[in-house]
Amino acid sequence: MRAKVIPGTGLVWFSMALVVLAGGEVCARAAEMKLQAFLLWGTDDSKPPEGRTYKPVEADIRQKLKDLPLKWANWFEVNRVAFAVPQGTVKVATMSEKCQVNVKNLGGSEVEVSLIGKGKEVVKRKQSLPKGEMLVLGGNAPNSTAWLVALKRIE
Amino acid sequence: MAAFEELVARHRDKIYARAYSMMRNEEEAVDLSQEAWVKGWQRLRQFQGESSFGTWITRIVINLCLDQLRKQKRQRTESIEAMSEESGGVERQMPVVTVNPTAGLERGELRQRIDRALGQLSYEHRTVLVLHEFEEMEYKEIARTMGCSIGTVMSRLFYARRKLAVLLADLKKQDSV
Amino acid sequence: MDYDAQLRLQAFLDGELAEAEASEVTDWLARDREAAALLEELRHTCEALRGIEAGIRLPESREFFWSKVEREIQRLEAPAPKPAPVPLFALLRRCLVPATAVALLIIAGVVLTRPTGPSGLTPAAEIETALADSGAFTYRDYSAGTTLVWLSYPADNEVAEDDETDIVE
Repeated sequence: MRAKVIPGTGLVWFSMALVVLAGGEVCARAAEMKLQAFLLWGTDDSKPPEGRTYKPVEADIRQKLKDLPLKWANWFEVNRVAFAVPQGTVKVATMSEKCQVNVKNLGGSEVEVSLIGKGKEVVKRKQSLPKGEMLVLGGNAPNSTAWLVALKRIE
Repeated sequence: MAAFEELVARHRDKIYARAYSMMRNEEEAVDLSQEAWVKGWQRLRQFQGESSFGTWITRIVINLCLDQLRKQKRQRTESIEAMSEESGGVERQMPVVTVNPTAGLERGELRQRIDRALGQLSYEHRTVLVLHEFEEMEYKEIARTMGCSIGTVMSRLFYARRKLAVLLADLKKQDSV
Repeated sequence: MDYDAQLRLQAFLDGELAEAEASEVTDWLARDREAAALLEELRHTCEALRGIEAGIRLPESREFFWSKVEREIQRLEAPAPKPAPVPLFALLRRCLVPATAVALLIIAGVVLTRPTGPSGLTPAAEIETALADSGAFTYRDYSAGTTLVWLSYPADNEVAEDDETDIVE
């Protein structure tokens, strides 16, 4: 006696098998994110103040900042931190005595970034940060200058 | 419901005017006014008479407008001009407008000029102005309503007033040419 | 006149200063013409705004506007209709079909969203921001792949001419 085949059941099982395989691939791709955080100082002066040894920002960062609506003519690198964030974890990058940035890898290129200034959370932002893109947080600094924390994704 | 209809009739223009001052868009102001009245009906039991009904319902429409403006702000990117206004402290360097730019104007003409000038402010600056000048809130209360510091309220209010003075003076110059 | 002094003048105009400080400002105004001129400008602006809302009218008739409000109130207060009970077999069948469709969509999504580079097929992510201070601007440069979030931090009146508030050092 032949067994009756219920139409659609085969399709359901095939789809579920494909989902399991695809899920495996997603997990394999959930690698850590490699990031670089820069603390930058913006000014209209051509050099940093006396006693400070900041160097001018790299050309690619300078170009990206040039395309943003920021009025300062020159940008200097105060500090740079390179770090990796595995999926589902938070890494803290200390940019200066008063400034740190916490980055959480939410998976699928999504990050949650918190900026801590003088011990208090100043801003928390969740967004997609694909490879090669940059998130810039900034504000005014004394003497008509500006500060930026630029977070660039390397891998 | 008949009594509530009477309240709506009595205060509808004021509520709409406040929404329009904040939103600068007739359609949005009408929609938000309507939403404020519906919310007012739903919360009527919570109104205990600690302020006048007009003040109470006005605060509802203000909060609705603020929510809407924040939502719109998250969805749009700011113009380059607005960015440099916020980042540059330009109001500190504006020369003082010494001639009263509204002297000798008819009420209607003045209202038109103010309208045009208000429309050119960013939503944060306009909101602080509306809350202070029209709603007569103190700095502390504005800071709480807008979720920012008193220092930020003072800066924005100062910028808004100075910018308005310059815009009104410019309009006066244009009209006299 | 520095910025703090300008803000102090504004606070004086708005009645936000304590009596002693207000008295100091009064003395200052008597001897500083620049300060007096700025105060006058601020005062003109306040006067210009007075009563400006009085002429604004809701551009809909009383009856029409009320009918919209009433309709919305009634809609929100009407009880929601109870859904009819669904037989178990029909429920299972209903679940299998969308489950299959969802499974196929997941596969399609995984295959199609392979990143091909910075400007590849990566879909635009939803951006949410929770701000400590709502005075922030967001600017997005799509071609360069840069997002700028400009904060009013430190607050404008904290950006003094010294290093106390400097976040950089």
